[in-house]
Amino acid sequence: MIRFLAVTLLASAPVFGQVDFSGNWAPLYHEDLPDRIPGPELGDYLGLPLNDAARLRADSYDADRISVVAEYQCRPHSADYSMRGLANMRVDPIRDPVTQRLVAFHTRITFQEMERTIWLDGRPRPSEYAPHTWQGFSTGTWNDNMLDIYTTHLKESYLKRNGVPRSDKATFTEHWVRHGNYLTVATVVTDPAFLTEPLVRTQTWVLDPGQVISRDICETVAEVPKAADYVPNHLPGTNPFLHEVADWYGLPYEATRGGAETLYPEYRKKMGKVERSRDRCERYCSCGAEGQVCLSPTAAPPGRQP
Amino acid sequence: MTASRLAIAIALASFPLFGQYDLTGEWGARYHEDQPERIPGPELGDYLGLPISDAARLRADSWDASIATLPEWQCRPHPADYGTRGPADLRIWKEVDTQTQQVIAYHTHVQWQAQERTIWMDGRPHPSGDEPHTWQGFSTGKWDGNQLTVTTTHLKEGYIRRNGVPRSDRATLVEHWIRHGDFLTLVSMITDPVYLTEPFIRTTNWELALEQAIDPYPCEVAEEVQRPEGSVPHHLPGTNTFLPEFAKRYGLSMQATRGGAETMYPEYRLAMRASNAPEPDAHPPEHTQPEASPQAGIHAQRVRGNIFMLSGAGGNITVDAGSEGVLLVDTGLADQTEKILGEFGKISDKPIRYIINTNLDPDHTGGNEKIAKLGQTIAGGDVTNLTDDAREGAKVIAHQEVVNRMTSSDGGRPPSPFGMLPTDTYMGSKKDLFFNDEGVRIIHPKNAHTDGDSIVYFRRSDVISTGDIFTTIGYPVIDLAHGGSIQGEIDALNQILGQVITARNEESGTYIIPGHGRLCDAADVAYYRDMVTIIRDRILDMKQKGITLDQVKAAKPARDYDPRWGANSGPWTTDMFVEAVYKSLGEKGTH
Repeated sequence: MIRFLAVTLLASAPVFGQVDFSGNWAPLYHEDLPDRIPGPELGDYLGLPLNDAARLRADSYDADRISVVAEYQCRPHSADYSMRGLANMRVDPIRDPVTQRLVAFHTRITFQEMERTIWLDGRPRPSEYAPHTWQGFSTGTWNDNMLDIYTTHLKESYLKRNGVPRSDKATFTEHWVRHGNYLTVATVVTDPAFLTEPLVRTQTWVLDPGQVISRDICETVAEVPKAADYVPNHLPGTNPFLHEVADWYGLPYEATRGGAETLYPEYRKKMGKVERSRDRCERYCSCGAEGQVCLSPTAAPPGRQP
Repeated sequence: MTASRLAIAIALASFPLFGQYDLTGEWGARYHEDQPERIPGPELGDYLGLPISDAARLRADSWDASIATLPEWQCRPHPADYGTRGPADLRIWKEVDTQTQQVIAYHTHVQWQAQERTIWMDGRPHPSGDEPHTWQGFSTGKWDGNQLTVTTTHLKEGYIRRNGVPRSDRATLVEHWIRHGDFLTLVSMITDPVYLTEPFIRTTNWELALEQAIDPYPCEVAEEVQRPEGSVPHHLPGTNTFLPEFAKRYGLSMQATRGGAETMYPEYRLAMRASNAPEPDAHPPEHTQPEASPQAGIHAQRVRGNIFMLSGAGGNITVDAGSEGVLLVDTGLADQTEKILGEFGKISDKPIRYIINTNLDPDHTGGNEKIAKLGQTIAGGDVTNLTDDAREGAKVIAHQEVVNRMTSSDGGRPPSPFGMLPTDTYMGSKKDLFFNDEGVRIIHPKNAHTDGDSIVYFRRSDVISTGDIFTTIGYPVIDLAHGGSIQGEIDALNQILGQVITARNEESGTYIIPGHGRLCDAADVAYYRDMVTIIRDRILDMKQKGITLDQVKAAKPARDYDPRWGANSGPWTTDMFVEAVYKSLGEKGTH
């Protein structure tokens, strides 16, 4: 009897510095919804600490590339961006059957069936010659009830879906925080190739026991017949869409070009002049607010052809 | 186009699939319901609110908590129906088909003794009755709205309460798992045709516990109490002095504490106050959930490695099929030989080299002649080329007493035909072979089922074939006419238990092929040993008090085991068993 009591008392005490993340999680898009669900505007680099190289890469980006280049049609988001997109997520714990210790968390996300393993068993990182993958190699350590994750070995990918690149030399750190039935993940991307400062973003989920993640099967087809050596791109200085975001929202064009200074509130005070102002908001004005969808903007930007 | 695809995908992903609800997570047990019974543990003799039969009541009255110190029970986990009641911090995770993303199974891990259980969600059928019974049983689930309904069969014998109230291995369990937000409620319903007169319903609750971590639960067997070898702690009928304690402590009528279906219902309080509480209904119900049937006809199942169990041809046949050929333990009934050979053909095309007879009974030796003729002995050395027939036929091995008995007419049987006789006998306590890359030890227990029994231990595969010393279909046959005895039977069961090493939770590890019935492990043998020992003790006590055989039979000393193991007709009735025990205990009731 004493044995039963002792066991019960022991089991009731939480293990310091661990919290269970397993379950089905539904993403909440209230934060950055226009950027995440309809998708970012072309030429919108505002708030990104990118360098000139990244800016040129983004300016050259032609969205046709994901249709014309067969290799990109079924490309998933990489680990750092997957939390931003269609991010219904399932988290499964993997345990050592002998010690009952957590070996890893395994995540699966709706879009393109992204699966990722976050190792918690202290294993070393692969050598620099090991393959890079979309999801990279992630290890986690507990920092009280927060799980800190460090990811390397990423393939090249993007910071925004409008062509702003993130190189294969990037690493990122995450902080997973569960507060009741809510999960917040803060992501910090460091990229020596394309960022001048770390890029910090947060995403949130709510526990959703009724959620079921179905398959998201992708097959490559010839969507647009083109020559084999054709990769859609805009030659420097020829992209006609770059001013759209400034025009839509009545922003100074310089602000939309991004850079580390545009991350900070102080930038508002020295923001450049607005080229084309609008009387009222007509595009994504209440996107995501109180559950409103934001998929069908109809108004054209003032003074330019869409 | 991209946006449309996204929108559709979001819509699809955001809706819950009708009739499924995710149960995964860490769940902290809540003990507010039935806490005194669940954590400190139930009082001895408290059967109140349990729909038990008379047989269950006697089993519980006879229970002595010291039995938990027997080596076989020290690391026993709670079974599936009780596991959720004890220290029950729970982890649930699911297994998903990577192709379809459908849930294949839920897995549960309960803290105490690290019980792990699988609830299959993929529509697979329940196994046949020949498959092993386990602590956690075989569970299948289906969604009923947001409620997961789970049906469990193939349970080992367990308990309804931790004060000895039994639950038989024929019981089935139906559960309803209901998640409401961060709370989880389990409604469990146990139906037991052996020990319950009505289904028994309980509820248990958990709350999501985000920071819970369940540690491993290692358990090692140690000698906790020094006691005479072979003794099993229990109270003889009418001698348990602790039974009135519960009634006295709580000011209840003794009759109420004795349980029975009536005591489950609120109306019983009124009857108690009026001091006219009805006598408990002690009659087991009709079988509401039929026990899983053995597969019809003769069929084989792989036990482990080279070893198969062939059932349905009389006694079970053990088949060791490897690169050197086939070794059989027993050959079944004579009229089943053709069918047996048909099943062999599915397992191996190698020649039969050895047959080992575990006893002389025709349901174990009936196929000797025909099957041995088809085999080929491994011959060599001085025998090579000296005689043409040296390799003809498989070698048939048995203890010398088997041949002695088969060639005489004592014991009421005519001598067996020459072709059925073993060709190679051994005397003493053992004989060893090395065949198909493993040691095969043939062990002779003295005067158990008969005086010529053999137990066959496949040491590498870790499988023991017991012959009729152990079965799952009835009381052991003590064949007094052919040298059997109750004490030899108990010694033989303990000898089997002395050979086994179980895996975790006193389960699996060494597999046991019984003379008849389903595939088993050591815990099944331990339960059987306990039962036979306790019945022996009761009959011995009566015999020492001068009670006659007829009086002993009338007293039904095994009435708590009869609903599961007894028979009123057929080749081995309960009366025949009681008589054999009584007579084999000697004139003065000694053993």
